[in-house]
Amino acid sequence: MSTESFITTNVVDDDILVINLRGKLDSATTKEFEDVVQQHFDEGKSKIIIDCAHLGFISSLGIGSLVRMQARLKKRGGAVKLAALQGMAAEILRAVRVDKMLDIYGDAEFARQSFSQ
Amino acid sequence: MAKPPAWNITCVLASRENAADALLSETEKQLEGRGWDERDRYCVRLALEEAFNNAMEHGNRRDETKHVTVDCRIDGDRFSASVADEGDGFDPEAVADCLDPENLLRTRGRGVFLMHTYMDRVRYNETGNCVTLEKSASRDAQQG
Repeated sequence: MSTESFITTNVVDDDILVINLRGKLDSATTKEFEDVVQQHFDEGKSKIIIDCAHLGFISSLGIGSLVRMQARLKKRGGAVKLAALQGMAAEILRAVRVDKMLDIYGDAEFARQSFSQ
Repeated sequence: MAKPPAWNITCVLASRENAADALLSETEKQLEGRGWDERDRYCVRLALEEAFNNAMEHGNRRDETKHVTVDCRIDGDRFSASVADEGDGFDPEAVADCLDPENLLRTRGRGVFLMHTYMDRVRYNETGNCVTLEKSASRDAQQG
């Protein structure tokens, strides 16, 4: 587990990285988020679930980061999947049609199961 | 209870990522203190962050010798801000449509769209290097 409060991580099914975000994914936090993703990308992982149950807000920097991540993971045959989106973060992501590019699930467990289908 | 006094702050910020973070947090705090609900606070924070990032990146091209001047005002249920950079300006009409299917995979270019979506009014000066944002609270702000 990360010691940072904004972001915590765990690995399920050996190769799926689950990232739990809390608060805001914006100019103050996107770099930290990308550093965590990069570390696991460097380890060869290509499946990521982002649990957004406690994500209240996302700006275009955070959105761009998600889109960039999806493109990189797809090249490796993987994907980033969003889970438990709610509130303003869900509204913003749908407004810019990120739901057309990333799969969104009701919770992290559904997202996990989808990787094995 | 008396109406809280109007809040106004002008900041001259470096063209550096995170330079506006303290201002964003303080603005959100001021809105909360005036009874603005969470959604409205997020709308303001989002638009202000997008305006600053555009000014820093596209206006001043991350030249740290250039500054972004942000003037914020909250008066009851009204928020307004101007964000000015030292660049040559741009034509907002020429910004690519981020919702066009061909542009959905772009990692940038959504800031202007988000400002227009979540503010009541977005205006640019003639040069295109200063944007003014305006929003009213969705419901009457609490009066203390």
